[in-house]
Amino acid sequence: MNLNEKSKEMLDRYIIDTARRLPGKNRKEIALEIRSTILDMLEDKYEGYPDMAQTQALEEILKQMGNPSKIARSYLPDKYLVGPMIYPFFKKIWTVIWAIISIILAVRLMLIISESPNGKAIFEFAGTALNSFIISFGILVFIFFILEKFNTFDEFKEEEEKWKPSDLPEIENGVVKIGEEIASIVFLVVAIIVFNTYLRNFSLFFIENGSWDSLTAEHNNLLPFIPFLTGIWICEIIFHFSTIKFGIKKYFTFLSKIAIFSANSVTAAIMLYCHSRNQMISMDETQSLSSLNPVINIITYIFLLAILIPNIAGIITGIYYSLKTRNIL
Amino acid sequence: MKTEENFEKVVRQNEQEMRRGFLVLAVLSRLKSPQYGYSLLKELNDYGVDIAQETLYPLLRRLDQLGMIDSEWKVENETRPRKYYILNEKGELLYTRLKSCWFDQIKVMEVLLK
Repeated sequence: MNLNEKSKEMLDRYIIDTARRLPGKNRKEIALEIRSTILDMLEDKYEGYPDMAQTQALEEILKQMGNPSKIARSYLPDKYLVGPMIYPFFKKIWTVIWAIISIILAVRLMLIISESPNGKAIFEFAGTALNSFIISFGILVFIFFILEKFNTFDEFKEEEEKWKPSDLPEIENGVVKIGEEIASIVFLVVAIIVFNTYLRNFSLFFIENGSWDSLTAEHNNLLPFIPFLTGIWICEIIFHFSTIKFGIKKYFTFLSKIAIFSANSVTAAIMLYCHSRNQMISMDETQSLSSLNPVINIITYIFLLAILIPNIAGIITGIYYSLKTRNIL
Repeated sequence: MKTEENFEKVVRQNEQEMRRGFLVLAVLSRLKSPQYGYSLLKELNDYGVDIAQETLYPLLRRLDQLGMIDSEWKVENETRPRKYYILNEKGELLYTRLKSCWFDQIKVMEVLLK
């Protein structure tokens, strides 16, 4: 049966909202099965109705099926730690905690690199990082388990009863948000202009021995990197334009993203390496920035890590989604 | 008023538990030939078995995972994938055993409830 655009969107939103509450292992198959059932129900009861009636009919079927959390719960075992009703909420909190821990760990790693960059210290850091993630995740699961056990989420249950199809969230993954793409293009164009024209006029001011000193372009070894950065940013602009044109994120989109993130990561890693060897910003042959001004030295590390870490995360998510679009995951 | 509501709740819970007991048998009885979820749901409802889709589909999935039924995705009309289920050897054995248990229970209950 052919669905009109509005019905198709409503059905997609319902399936996505249900699927995100299901365990990853069977998510795709269960989602396919639910979709197939809804289409069967629609076909059975409302075949041949005009477009408007089709959307209305679908809305009624979804209302009859109920809140996606209710559907998701029926596929879960009787005993679980975090239920489908509160799982999206749990996921949001975990994302915030994950981000905070990552920032703290990045700062700590930066301090380790600047103080004693040896293998043992970095190995110990990796152990601490892993522990932090495992312990914080365990504590969060335990808190949610206790709260759910003692029915603290009763208001969620009331919401579940009152659910209607218009409460479905918008689709996020896979569908292109044109506003975001245009904002990225504008941001990249501005970055290209600033780095290629105005950067030479910028100076970094700091207080040294009680008086103001400055780092101008001739001390700034960032300049040789600018052609590479400009090349990457132009590729990124082409990528954003093609994403707008195709309208949906496909396998090729994720491959292009992986390539761009990789290029960014390699550039940031080279810059980080140069900075660790005092070659990024050099005062003269005998003085290094770290000995002159440790604060600026640390800020430069933060800046470079702030570029490197999200790009590495981008590569990982890009690989994940590209495998997903190929049905490997 | 509250006592009445509580009583109704208890009745409903017990009815649900009783029904749940024979749902597996009812489902197995209709899977001698291949059926997809919705066709099975409709057939059971037509026979008067009160089963909702959020009960049937997870039940089919569990039987499939336990190896009692076989399942296969088939694409119909080039665009409509449907998952078909059918009893396998183990499932037929389970069906025979449950059916015999069911008739035994009926005999016992008929005597008890006279």
